[in-house]
Amino acid sequence: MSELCFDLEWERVDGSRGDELAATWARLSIRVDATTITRVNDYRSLGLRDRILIPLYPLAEWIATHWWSLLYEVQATGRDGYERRHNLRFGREGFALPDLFIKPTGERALIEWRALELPEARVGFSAGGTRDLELASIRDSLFDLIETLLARLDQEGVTDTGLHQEWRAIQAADEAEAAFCIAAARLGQDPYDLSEPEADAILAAANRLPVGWQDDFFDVANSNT
Amino acid sequence: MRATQRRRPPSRNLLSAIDPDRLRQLATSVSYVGSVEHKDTPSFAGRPPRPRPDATLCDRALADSRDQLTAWLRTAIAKGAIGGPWEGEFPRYAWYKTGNTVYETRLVNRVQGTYKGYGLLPDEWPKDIETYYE
Repeated sequence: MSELCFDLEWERVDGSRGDELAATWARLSIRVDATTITRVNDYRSLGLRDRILIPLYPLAEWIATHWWSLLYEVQATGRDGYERRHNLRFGREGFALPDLFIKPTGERALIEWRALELPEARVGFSAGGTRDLELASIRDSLFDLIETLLARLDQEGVTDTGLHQEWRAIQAADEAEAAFCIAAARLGQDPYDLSEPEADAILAAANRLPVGWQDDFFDVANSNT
Repeated sequence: MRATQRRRPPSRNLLSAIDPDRLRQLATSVSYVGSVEHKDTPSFAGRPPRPRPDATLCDRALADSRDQLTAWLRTAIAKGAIGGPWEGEFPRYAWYKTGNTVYETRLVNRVQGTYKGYGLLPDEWPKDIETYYE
């Protein structure tokens, strides 16, 4: 079965500022089957390498912050900000990350990556490609990455970060709350950044629709109407 | 289905409706310190520089420009060009635009209010950041 694999080797980096950043430096490779998405042209050493050396905290927090969208928001026309919610590059915080999309399509997801030049980092991700994977396997990979980061942070004595808080909230959601978060995500919304009228509108729509219709409705509905 | 009661600002979006007096006071309490992994020349961020292979490198012309970078950071905060989450008293992010470049500054010490920064690709700019610098 094809999987999206995050493989990391922890590193110590002297002088790095920010406790959660300093604690999570690692050499990271991201692979799908035999394809290494993080293969870069290094313009300083004039070579190719498969791993990137970055603090992983920003990526892990970005994944957690966009958890519901990453796993449930189907790409729909007229939706603002889809790329920012589905492209891992938007979690890079000044470090190199590939232009890598996770696009759920139901019980599966399309992984899509594109070549990307980062001249200010003096690296370039040269390859592009797509893979169609089971959504459950992607979920497991992202879950494991976050759990690994949290364990590292705890081991390094960096506690109660934004990642800890976000993950606690996601894991604490029971079935009823998770259903709401999923519905909001399907609408292209952040379930933790809704006004009360917006939340009420989601609940009202869900109450009017047969359960079997709700996913399709929220996938295509425009939250502005 | 039940609505979540949890609320938090979306990450790295411009915050709105912040009291201007609060912003002015906040701006006086922050400073720019940089971080050595983004430097490939000796600088105020530390000596020797420790450029990491996948870190955005700072413009060498700014290597000894701590005062200027602090001024940029304070301008960004005074203008309200800031983004959450809040960490203690400070926003994690502030954005300064100069010419066709937007720099993102990121909080690295929530007690001291110190920041580092790096350039963003154009499609990474926060939505509507240009309106803060017109």
